[in-house]
Amino acid sequence: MSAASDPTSNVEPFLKKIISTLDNQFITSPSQYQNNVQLFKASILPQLKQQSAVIINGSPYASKTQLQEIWSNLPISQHQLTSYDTHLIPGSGTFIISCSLKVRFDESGKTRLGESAELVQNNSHTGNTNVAVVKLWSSWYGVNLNLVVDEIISSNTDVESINSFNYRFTYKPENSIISL
Amino acid sequence: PVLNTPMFFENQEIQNISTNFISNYLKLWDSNRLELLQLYSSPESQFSLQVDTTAPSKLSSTSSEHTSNSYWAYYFSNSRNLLRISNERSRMSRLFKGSEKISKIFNSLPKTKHSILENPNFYSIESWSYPQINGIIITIHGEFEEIGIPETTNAPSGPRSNSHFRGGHSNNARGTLAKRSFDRTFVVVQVPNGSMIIASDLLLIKPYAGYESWNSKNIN
Repeated sequence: MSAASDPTSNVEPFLKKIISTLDNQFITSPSQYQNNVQLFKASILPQLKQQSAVIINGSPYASKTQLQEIWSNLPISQHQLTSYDTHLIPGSGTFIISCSLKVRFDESGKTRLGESAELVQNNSHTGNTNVAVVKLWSSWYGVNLNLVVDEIISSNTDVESINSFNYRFTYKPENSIISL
Repeated sequence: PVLNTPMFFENQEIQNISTNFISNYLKLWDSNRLELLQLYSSPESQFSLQVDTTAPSKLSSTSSEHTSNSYWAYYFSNSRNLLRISNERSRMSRLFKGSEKISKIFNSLPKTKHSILENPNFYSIESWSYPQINGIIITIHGEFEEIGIPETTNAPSGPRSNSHFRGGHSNNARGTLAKRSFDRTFVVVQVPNGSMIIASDLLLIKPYAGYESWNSKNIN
């Protein structure tokens, strides 16, 4: 890559890819997650490093596993990327990224895992079929997301490359009932 | 089930550095912006700004004012929302490196008033380490009031194409002065003589969105 060319060209597909994993939900189908809750949890932000610095609304998370555990018990969401900018920091091998997202949540009371916590713990009950489940979407929330990501995303968006992940609600609709 | 706290600092040292940094920075940004240039003295120091006109906001969705071009006129020609700029030359020309270029873009932004001393609850900060460069990241979310038109304009030079924002920056078009929300992310490095260098400064400007999102009490 020449010095004059734009090093940021692969940041956008990377961002769209990782943001889409925030919206994953557990579906009891052999073709997805093989009916395995652990595989589902591992599908959330797989590009995080094991010891990434993760901060959500000002609270730190100790590890990738802890983030995946907590996120999988949150309501179902839809995220959209609305703006982003990034700098490649010379000599660091990393990009710093600042982006703007909007997100809405399903307010029907379900988590990403399904009906309830009991259902998850009892594997014999995974027959919950998510057929024609009606979602009650909230209004849109605003989010600012900051990331430090290894330069390797320019060639590979699947490896563990996220060093830090800082997710902050910056707008909350007046009728909101969800709090992360 | 998760706490929502307006401030996060990885440790006490980072807290001291970042709170000092932010209060001094915003004071000078509002009063004498060019005094900040010493923080960008590395030729590798980078600044850019992005506008997100579509961010959810407290402004009435029935009013079209904040979606009009004049509402964003002071920012559009320099906005590096990379989602909207595919042309490589535009992407590169809206990235400002070194204090000379940064001084020009700073002078082309409206004069502002941040109220962080009077109303600290209008602001939220996270700060944590950036080990790859032995530095720290400081992110602030909040609001500012625009209180004066820019000193100068900083219309990009040279041929332009493929931008959503072409045109509109000719003849010093008057923009609207307004209250806006912003997120700003600094990468700060302490250099051997004890002073600070800003390696990266990313400014994101949005329609006014209030401060309730980091002040509300959690109930579930």
